[in-house]
Amino acid sequence: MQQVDRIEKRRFVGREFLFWLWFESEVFDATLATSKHGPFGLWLERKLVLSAEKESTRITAALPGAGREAKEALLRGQLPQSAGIRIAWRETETSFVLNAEQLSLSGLKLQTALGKDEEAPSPLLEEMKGGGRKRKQAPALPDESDVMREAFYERMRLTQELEALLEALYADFVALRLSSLWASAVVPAARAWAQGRDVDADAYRRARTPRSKAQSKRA
Amino acid sequence: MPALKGSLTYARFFVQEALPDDFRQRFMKSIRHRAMRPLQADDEESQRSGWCAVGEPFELELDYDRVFYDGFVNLGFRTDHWAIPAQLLRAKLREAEAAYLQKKGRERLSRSEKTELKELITRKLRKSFVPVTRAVDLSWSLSENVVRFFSQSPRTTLAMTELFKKSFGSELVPEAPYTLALRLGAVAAEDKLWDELEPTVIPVQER
Repeated sequence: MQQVDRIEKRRFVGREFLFWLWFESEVFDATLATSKHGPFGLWLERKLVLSAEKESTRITAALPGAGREAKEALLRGQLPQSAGIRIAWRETETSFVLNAEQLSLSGLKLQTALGKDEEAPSPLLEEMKGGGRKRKQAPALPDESDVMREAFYERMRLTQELEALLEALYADFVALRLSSLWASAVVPAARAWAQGRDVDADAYRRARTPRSKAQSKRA
Repeated sequence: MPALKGSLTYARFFVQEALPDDFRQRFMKSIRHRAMRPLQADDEESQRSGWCAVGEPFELELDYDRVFYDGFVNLGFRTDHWAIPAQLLRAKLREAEAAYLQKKGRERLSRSEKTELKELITRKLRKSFVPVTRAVDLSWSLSENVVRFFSQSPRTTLAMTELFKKSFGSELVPEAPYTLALRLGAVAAEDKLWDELEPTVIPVQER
């Protein structure tokens, strides 16, 4: 197989990754974990687009994956194309849209401390609060370019942390996807879940955890 | 300025080549060489791209401090193009053609005359407009060998990757399920299992 085919003909793996995130976040009550990061909150929110060839389903809701419409789309052979995701980790929450085939992020909102657009206090409000006449002299501001750089470093650090978390999830997913456990444990449970049947979270976790090296490695 | 402000929408690319020892000097020379040259009315091109300062599309004096942030190369990918309303161009062209034919006492224009007249009118009209400017931030994390490009438009991305190759001599590999799996070591370079993957079928046949 040519390199270009490994990229282009296997883009569906990105959709399956998003599907797996959605499935596991519902089965495990929105709490996922990686060995590197420990447990964290992850759930689909606001928007979910599923498609297969020309047919597509767009769902906009607080929890778009929770309803029957999304599962019915799966049962018609559609897989997620993009979804809004929220991750709660280390007391911060991050939201973004994951585009599955490109594994790219859109509308990533970071909880930054620096570089926020803080509005100047309204003079009228200040006066109403009784502070109009006693306004103190503003403290000297640091150089604008330094502030901009610091804000940039913070944004990049948070972005890299999020990417590392997604990469750890993706690495776990690929290991599972290439193992025999995908067909023997994940797919049957995911089918039951899509059909609206209860999935025993503990039994599923045990079933998809490799018990031997041979099982974890290759199908 | 997505790299510096607001929510982020971006695509990642991997740089495969190692950095040369003198990359700072080399890159600065190359970046300055390919800094944006704003479009002029008399230029033949109707569109042009080049580097500008990150977050500042009109800042074309690119010095080391503007480009190198600790461990990052930050640039703006600026594209200028002329956007002359088609209706206006057609109307002006009709006027010019009529005047030309009257002057020459003829009834028809040759194809080359039409082309020449169109170019003339386009250049004339450009003088009453300013080119449309668009800039997209780019941030190259040198330690990660990752470029974050703050646009997902295929056309803009293609133009940027071409300029990147010319400027830095490196081919950008776009993020995809395979390239990421490879980079993370989750698959081998010619992994048979990856090659044999078939899409998962969720629908149950007997439904």
